[in-house]
Amino acid sequence: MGYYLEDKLTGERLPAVISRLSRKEVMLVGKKQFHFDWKTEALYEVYGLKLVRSREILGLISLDYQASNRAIEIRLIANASEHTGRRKRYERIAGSLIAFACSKSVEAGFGGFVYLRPKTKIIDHYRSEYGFKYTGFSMIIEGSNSEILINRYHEDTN
Amino acid sequence: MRTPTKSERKVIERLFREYTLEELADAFVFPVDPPTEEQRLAEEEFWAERRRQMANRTPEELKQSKMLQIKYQILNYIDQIDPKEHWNFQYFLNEYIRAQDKKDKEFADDVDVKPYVLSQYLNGHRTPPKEFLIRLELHSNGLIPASWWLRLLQKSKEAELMQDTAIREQESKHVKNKIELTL
Repeated sequence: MGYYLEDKLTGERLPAVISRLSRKEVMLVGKKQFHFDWKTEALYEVYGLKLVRSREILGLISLDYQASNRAIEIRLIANASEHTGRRKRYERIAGSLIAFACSKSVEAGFGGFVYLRPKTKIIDHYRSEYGFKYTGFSMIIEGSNSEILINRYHEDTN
Repeated sequence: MRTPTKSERKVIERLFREYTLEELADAFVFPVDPPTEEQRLAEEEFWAERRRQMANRTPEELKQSKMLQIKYQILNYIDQIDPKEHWNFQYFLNEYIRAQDKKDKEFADDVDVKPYVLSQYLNGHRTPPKEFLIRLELHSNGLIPASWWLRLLQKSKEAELMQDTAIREQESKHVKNKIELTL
């Protein structure tokens, strides 16, 4: 099935796809729905997660490929506002996007090395939820931990 | 690194008021303030060490990394509904063989096919049977399942079919009484 989301109401597993947004599509992302100004991300690779059966984007991720560091930085992630917090209908949106970043890092030959700069208050949650390690300035995931995360969110890799 | 604009700082403050920390980690990676001088120095040292580690990988580690790279190139390619670029089965089979520093003849021997048959698979003049796809799966020790190779083949055929205008002209003389639809 690949990536999938869980419907909190019905318990159904719904197939999802993650695909790259064109520059034009990035410029059209609304601040109201995705919280931040995504226009600045047009210089990077922005991917959107959608359910296979719908065209609606439920979550966005912006990735910075850093060849010299052999790493990918997650610059920004945002679930659509209606899919944030208790009101959200689907589980696994951000996790699938992070797992996707890990798979892109392996694909690029970076050994699954992905990092992000966390807000201090949520360091523990990134650690327990996704397996990131804190380095003192950023949180990293790589190698077998990246593979574990990919296997958790992408069904065909198990 | 993405730093917040003035209005984004207000958005972040609001989000931290409205949601629990768990809910925030489950939905965001936020823009953050630039590092302090101390953090910046620690960061430089960290990346220097990473570059050293990457430069000192053994040939075996490099080979493993290349194999995983091919695995995820295939996965991310077959996952795309409408890929921007069309790669094909031949491309990935060739990459798979090169990743192991093998000559075609050596690889043909590994999977018990005649070198000329492997060559036909590689140049697209012959479609590999399912037995060959199973042998590829076994050769990779399950790293790349036969079903992925099959989906690659199907995707290659689909792209070929969609792009082939000559065959449409050629086959049109065998078709009559076409359905007429008003759309």
